[in-house]
Amino acid sequence: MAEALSVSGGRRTLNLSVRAREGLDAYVMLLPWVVGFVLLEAGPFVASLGLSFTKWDMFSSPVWVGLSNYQDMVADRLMGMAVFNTVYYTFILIPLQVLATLAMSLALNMKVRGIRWYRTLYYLPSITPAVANALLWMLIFQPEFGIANFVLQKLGLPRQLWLLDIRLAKPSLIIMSLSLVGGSMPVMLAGLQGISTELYEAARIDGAGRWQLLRRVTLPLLTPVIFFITVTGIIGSFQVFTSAFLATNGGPQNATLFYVLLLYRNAFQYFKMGYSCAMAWALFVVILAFTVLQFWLSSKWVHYET
Amino acid sequence: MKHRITRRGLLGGMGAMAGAAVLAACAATPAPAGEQEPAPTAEAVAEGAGAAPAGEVVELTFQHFFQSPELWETAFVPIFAHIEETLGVKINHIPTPYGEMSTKLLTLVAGGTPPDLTSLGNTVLTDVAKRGALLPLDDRIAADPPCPMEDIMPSRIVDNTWDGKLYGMPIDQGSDGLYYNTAIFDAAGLDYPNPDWTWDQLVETALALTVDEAGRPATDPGFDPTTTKQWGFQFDTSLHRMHNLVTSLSGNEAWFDKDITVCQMDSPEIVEALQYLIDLRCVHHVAPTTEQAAGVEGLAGGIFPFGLGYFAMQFAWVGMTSALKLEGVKIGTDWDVTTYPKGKMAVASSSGQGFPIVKDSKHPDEAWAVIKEFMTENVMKMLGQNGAWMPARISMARYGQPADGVPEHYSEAFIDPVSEYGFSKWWYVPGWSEWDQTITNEVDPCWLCQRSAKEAVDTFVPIVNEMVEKRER
Repeated sequence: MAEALSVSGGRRTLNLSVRAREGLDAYVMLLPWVVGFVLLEAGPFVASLGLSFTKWDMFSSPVWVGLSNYQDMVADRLMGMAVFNTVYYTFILIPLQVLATLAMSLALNMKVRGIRWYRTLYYLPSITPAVANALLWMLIFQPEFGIANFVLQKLGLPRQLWLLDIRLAKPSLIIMSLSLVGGSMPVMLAGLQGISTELYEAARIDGAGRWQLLRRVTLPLLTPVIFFITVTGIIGSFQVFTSAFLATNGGPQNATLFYVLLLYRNAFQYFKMGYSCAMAWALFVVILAFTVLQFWLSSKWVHYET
Repeated sequence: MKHRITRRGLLGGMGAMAGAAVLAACAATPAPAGEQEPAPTAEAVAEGAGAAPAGEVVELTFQHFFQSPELWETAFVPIFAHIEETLGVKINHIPTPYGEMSTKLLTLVAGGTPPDLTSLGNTVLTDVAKRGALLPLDDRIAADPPCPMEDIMPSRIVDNTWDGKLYGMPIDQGSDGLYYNTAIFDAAGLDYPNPDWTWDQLVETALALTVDEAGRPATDPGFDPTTTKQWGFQFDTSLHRMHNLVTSLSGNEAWFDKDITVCQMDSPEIVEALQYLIDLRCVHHVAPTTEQAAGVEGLAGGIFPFGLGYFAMQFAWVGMTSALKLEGVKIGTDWDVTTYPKGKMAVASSSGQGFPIVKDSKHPDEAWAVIKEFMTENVMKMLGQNGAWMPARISMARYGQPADGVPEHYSEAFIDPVSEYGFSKWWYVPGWSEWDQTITNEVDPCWLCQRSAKEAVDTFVPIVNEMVEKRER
């Protein structure tokens, strides 16, 4: 039931229901993003849709070509490779990312001395600029003097070419990305700390062990957080660009040619901005579809505490 | 009174703002290049049309990549100071990484903030010119030539020409030569390379000068190529640089036919030449593989590995001359240069920078004045004297010789060959960037010793031919 409130604020008094007040709060908090989106992004966003139906090199006038950019995508010999690489990257990385975040958060949720330092330590890589992170990992994977091969040698294993190897280039980039899982850790940690201790106590009284506590209490109640990390992770990894652009430039032999890198090349190196806009919209639709699918599937595995 | 904030109302407001943003974005877009006013006539240029009002200091913007340590302080700072003083203009710089020049220009133009001047290499200039982003310079040259045009290396004129019009004023000449470390040769008691050398002699010498960690040369049966500490030879595997080596070895400079309808890199002699270079790395081990080269570069910390004594010989472009004068270069003055070994064809590359005026320039006349000033003897001398850039003017190429006399055979390596048989790569046309990427992608595994030249060529030639067939003309 909407309860009327009297809000005093100087000379005028505004009476709002609780529901309206909450709505107002929500919209006020959303406003910075909305204003930013409308002023800075909405124009290019809408324009890019129109441009996707044109041939445009950014120097001369766009020429209407109808759906041909979208048709060309089907015939693009690199498209299949780029889609495969991106899907491979996404569906290997995201489960690993969720598992790593969960493991890290469980460890960092323990009440041990210096835990705040540990949390900071694990979070720090995620705020390292992407370029610096890529350069750091390029050094680690450097075949001649990189730490990765040094470790392999110490273990008596053969040296690897890592980013230069067609088989290892994508896994190497996945490892690079996993170093940034600390970014999701605060969300997961907040989720863990939001689980009522009473539930654990009740479960213990019922005889649950540590594994059962994790499986029957922690994981079900973390599913909203896992869902959030999965959705945002998939959206982000479908758009992977910086690491491949810097570390491999799509090589070797297109092994790390991701969708957005191909899009970038078409736009800024081959002057095919209209085609790139079509690629961007295709990606948008795919991401949207995946997100909708995940929301639909979420009703089967995500548990919200009532 | 209750104020209800409806979702519909908020969305309506957002929609109105989005519309305003779209309109604003449209309004801010400059007229497309194709709809700009035509280039001024020779008469208009001569009369100074478009010049700034008298007394006003014109501020020009110049997008370039000149702020590298070996170029900026030693060459371009004094040059720009001189030009600003002489012409009474102010030049604002837009520093851009070399590899991002055309990308940045694209975004500057599309964003409505085009620079007045830019510097484009011959691999990308035609692509930008074809799209109407640059002003043709022919009328200005006819009305007010910056120098006798026959004094500019003819191949460099071709490099900067698209569809019969000159779009970039050739500033420099970036030819290649064989650098060699005299100290390494002296220590081994070997004769220095010279223009009469053959490829076989070069390989033989490179074998003797390639040494592993245990001090064994590559001619020793116990030589371990995984622990090489000094290589006899190094060369750049970018297509642009590698073309000269392949041409020297194959006697066929034509990677494409004259009309650019078909890629001819699958001709037996080109495949054989390519394999010869691959074997230098993978069979003879006289040149580092990709990972070894990357390792050496990593250890060199930004200095050319040749300057640290890792290579006894290296094919490289003339610009390395100035880089070898930088602090931290350990070989000091113990180096010299010569030209390519005698192969099946005498070869000299034509490449370098052209200075175009961007079509949407607000001050095209002042930009032209800057270009003209660059072509004067005074500035060409300043440009070349520290070994920064070899001037594109034939009569002034000698200024590229560094003042300290090192390298001694500068002219023999860089000037004489280009003057005698320098030629332009005619396939640097719109679309080349994509072909280059495709070819490079398939040739790269060769440098890792994972693929033969034939396998690479058989893979990329059909793909490139398909691209060539669809190219924009």
